[in-house]
Amino acid sequence: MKRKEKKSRQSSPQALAKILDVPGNMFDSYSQIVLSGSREAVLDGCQGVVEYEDDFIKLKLGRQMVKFTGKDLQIKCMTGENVIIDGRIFSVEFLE
Amino acid sequence: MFIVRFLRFVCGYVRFRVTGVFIERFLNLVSRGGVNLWGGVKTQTQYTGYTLMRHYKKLRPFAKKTGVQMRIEKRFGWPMWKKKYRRRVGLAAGVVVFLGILGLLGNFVWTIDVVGNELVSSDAILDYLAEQGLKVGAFKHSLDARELERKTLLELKELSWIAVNITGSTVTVEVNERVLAPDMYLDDDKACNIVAKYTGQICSMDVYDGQSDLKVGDTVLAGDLIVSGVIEDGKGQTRFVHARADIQAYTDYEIEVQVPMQQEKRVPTGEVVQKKYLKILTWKIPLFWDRDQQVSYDSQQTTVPFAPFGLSTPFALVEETRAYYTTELVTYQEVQAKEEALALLQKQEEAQLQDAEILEKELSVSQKDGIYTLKASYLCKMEIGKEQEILLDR
Repeated sequence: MKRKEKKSRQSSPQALAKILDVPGNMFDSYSQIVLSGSREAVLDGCQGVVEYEDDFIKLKLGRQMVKFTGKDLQIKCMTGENVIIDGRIFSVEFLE
Repeated sequence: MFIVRFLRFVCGYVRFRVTGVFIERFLNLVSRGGVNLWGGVKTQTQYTGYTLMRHYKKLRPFAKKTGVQMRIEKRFGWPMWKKKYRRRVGLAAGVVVFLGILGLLGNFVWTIDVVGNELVSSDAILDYLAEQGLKVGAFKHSLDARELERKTLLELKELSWIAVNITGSTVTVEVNERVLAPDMYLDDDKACNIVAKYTGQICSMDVYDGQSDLKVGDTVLAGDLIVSGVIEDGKGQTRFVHARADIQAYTDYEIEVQVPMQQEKRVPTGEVVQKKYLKILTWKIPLFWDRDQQVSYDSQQTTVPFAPFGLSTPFALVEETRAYYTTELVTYQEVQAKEEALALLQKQEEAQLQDAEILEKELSVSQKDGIYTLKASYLCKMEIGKEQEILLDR
C-alpha cells in the first residue's frame, strides 16, 4: 500500500501535465539535453561527471546516466548544473 | 559571447593543468563548489582548462581532496597587463595625456557642414555664422544654437528655415531656401520724378509712367526734370505717381587716369618654396624651422583635412607655397606710362560706360610733376534718367 502511494505521488506532476496538455517538465524538473547537430550538446541538470574520456563521456542525470559516444569529445564548459560537450557525437545513450 | 570574453579579460583568468587519476571526481567537486571552468581538454591522466583568477584558489582544496596535482600554465587578462606595465610610468602618462587631449578637443567644434542650400553659397552662410561665433575651433558650450538660428534667419533673407545641430564636435547646419517674389515695381508707393543724370541731348524717350513736357531733340542739363511724377488731370486734381521712363541722350563723358612716372614694382626672384603646417582647430604649428630672411612673398595656402576612413578629426595639413619677390623703384618712359594708362582707361571704360554706346572718343595726354595724365573725352549715347523722390509733407 505504501509502495502504491509513493508511485502515485511520483507520477502526479506528470499526470497533471497530461491533464492540462502541457509539456511534462512544466511541473517536474527533468534534465534537458539540447543537441546542435552532432557537434555540440548542452546539458541542463547534470549532477556530475562519471567518466570522461576522449571517445565517450558519461554524465549523471538524477537517477539516470547519459553516455555520449563519439570522437574528440571534450567538456567545453562546466557551470553549476550546466555542461557543454564539444566534439563529434555519434550516439546518446541513457543508462539506468 | 564578446561580452563574456571581455569580462573574463577584465577579471583576469588562468590556464591550469590537473594531473591525476580522479579527474572526474575533481571536476564534480569543482562544479558543485560553484566554480566555472571552460575550454577544457582532457587526455588520459591530464586535464587542461581555464578559470577566473579569483576562483583558482578555491580549486586547491578540491585538488587536495581528490589527490590530483594542479599547476598554473599561464595567466591572462587585465590584472596581468597591469602588473607587467606597472613600472612604465611614461606609458600610463601617455594614455592619460591622450585621453585628456581627446576630452579637451571634444569641447571644440571640429567641422561644420552646411546642407540643403542651392542658391545661397555655403561660404556666405559660414561667414555669417563665423561672425556670430560659430566657426571651427569655437568652444562648443559657448554656442547658443537657437540664438544663432534666429539671428541668421533675420540676416540672411534668402533662408526660410535653419537648424543648427551640434552633435559631438560636428556642427550640421541644415537650411531651407526661400522662394523670393520676383522684382516688379519696387517702392511703388513713393512718388518720384525722373531727372537728368548728365547734360545732353535727348535722342529717344519711352515714358511708362508720369508726365513729360520734353521731347526728342531737347537739351537737358544735369539735374533737370525730364518726367514729372505729379500728374494733373483736366479737372485740376493732382495725382502723384512713381515716374518711370527710359531716356536715351547724346552726352559728353570724361574719364581721367593718372600714372606716376616712378613706381615701386614687384620683381619675382623666381624662388618658390613650400612650407607645411599642422593645423589643430585654429592653431597652426609650423613643421619647419623658418630661417627665412626674405620677408616679401606671395603666399598661397592649401588645407588638406586629416580624415581617416571618412571620419573627421580636428587635424589638417596646411601647405603653403611662397613665391618670393623684391621691390624695385622703376622709372617709366613715356611709352610705358602711356601703355599702363591705356590699360587703366580700358578698365574704367568697361566699368563706367558698360551700357553706353560710344560714338566718338578723343584722347589727350599731359605730364606734370612726375605724373602722366591721360584724359579721354567721349560722345556717347546712354541712359540719363535718374529717379528722384518727391518729398511730400503728409
